[in-house]
Amino acid sequence: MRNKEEFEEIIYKCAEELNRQLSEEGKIALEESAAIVGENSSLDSLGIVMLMISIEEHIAHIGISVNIMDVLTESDEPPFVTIGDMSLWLLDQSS
Amino acid sequence: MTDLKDKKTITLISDFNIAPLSGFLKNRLKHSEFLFETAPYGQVYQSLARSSESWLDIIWTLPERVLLGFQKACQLEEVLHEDILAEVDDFSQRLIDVSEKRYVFVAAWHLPANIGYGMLDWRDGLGLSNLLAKCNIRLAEKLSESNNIFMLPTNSWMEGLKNPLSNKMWYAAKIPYDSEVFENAANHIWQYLDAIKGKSRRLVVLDLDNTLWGGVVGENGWQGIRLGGHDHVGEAFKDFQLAIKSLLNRGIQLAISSKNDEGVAMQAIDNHPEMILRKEDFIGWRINWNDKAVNIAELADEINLGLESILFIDDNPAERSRVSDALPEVLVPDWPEDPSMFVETLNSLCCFEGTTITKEDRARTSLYIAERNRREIKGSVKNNDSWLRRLDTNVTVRPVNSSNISRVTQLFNKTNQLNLSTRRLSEQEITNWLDDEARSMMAISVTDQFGDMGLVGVIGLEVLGSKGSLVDFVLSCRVMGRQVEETLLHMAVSELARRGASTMEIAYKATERNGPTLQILKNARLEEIEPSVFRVNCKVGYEKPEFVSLNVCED
Repeated sequence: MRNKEEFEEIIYKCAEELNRQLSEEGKIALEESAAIVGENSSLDSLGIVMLMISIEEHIAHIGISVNIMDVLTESDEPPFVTIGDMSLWLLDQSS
Repeated sequence: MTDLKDKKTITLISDFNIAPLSGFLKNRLKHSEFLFETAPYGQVYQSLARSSESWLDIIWTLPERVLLGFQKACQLEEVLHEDILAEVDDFSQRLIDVSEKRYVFVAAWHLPANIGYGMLDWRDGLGLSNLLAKCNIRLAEKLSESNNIFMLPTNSWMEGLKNPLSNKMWYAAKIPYDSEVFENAANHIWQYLDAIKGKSRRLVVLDLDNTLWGGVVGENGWQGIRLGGHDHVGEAFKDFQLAIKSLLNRGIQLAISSKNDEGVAMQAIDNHPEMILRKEDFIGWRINWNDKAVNIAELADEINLGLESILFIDDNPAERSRVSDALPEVLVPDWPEDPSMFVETLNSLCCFEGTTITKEDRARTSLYIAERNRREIKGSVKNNDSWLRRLDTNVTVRPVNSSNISRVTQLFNKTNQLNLSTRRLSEQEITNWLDDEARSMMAISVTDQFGDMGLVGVIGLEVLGSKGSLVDFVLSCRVMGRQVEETLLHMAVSELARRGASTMEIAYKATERNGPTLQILKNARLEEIEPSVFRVNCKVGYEKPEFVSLNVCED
């Protein structure tokens, strides 16, 4: 049975990897309330693409196929803003 | 921290989105003297043609994007390999042109994924693997014309990675590789930059028990250690010794620091039939029960090497921790317990980079062993004059030219203690400096009865009207204290007089480490016209030391 924490761990891992190539002001805070998309996100558009693809690749390894970039580009309102939101959204997508 | 105006610009040029490499490099080098710029995406040829103040260009391209013929080959169209190699020649020439103004790093081309002719892919004249190998070899051959260009081993950045290529990232952001590839590349490039600045590791200090062989020689005797033989552990230690021995051929020196009884340990080194490293491979050793940090500091002092040039390898975490705490400049890597991982760990350190390998590098250990013999004689003779007479030192002076400029450049960039102005110059910068007829530069080689020390010094001279200047005085500390210094002053004054100068001025520029140069100038009894500025009357000259013979060659 999957849970929110499992997806949160994956997002943290991907964010940590991405942070290694970002400037101090661009780094993602490793906390549930950190915005990863939208105007409060520290990421620029390339950063968002890189993070989402990295998450897509990581969740593919546990057998879940979600095209996050498609969802983000096709919806007017993103389905998630923070790390916490996204882990809940991924949990929902996986069920 | 370096002032913005003193920063050197590194420009990244690529035909894919190279933002990840830029990010990793900026974080790796954020407190360094480097600034990073990224050329407009995809404009490789345009960026190469553009004038730039860049100090270094890093060029990383995909073969199927930069070579039109290779793109067709990727579609499995029939192509003539020679036509594509002509494109490689054109690309190479552009890089060579750029290298006249700055350093250039070029990433070797990597084969795109999932294409090719399968079992025919290495067939000559057909396969893509075969074609790309030819392209890389042609590129390497052409680029060898310039000593300012370095072709980087892209494959090593991908070794061991499960998925180095990222299709999703390519389609979404035009980034062809996984971020780990860029992180590895940034780590390697950081080491290459250190190499250009002459800051690589030049001495490996090794423990013995469970590092060079398995087991404890003091307990098992030399017959009981695990080394080679029909034993997988012994073979791993033997392979590690082979890898260490190969470093000697790159000019890296070896020493031992081991807590052992010296006699017992030396029996293993001398007698074990599978031992690869023998006594003559080590420039020194401290096999005793003392603090290893003290031993390493003594070894560094003995061979006149800074601690920042040392790598220490020991299987014992407590010893590593002690050395690391006491001597933070020494590189002390985490070391695996499993000997089968030793060679891989050594290779992953990437800390022995050099911009060139000269014959002096390859002979470095024998040079230091000869030096040890000189010191032993010095201890046995009554006074300094007798020692100098017995050395029978011969100094040969030649103009700097294409045959010796690699070694001269190396001396400019590595010599700290005996260096008048510590100008760090590339080969091209030296050539440019010599374009002015008022200037000349001479390379100094030294031999004595113990052997040939090779090219060990450089002097740079300039004449403006009747005023001559000794601009560069660079000498390896290997020959310090045997009147080579005074011989060079004699040579410099004579040469300037021959070129019409009436005086020679020497302006010493202090750095953290070139204090010995000032001491030599003061001991040489020159007129000090202002603090750290000396003058010699060329008409009076400067006497050549009695015990050194001087040979001046015209070419």
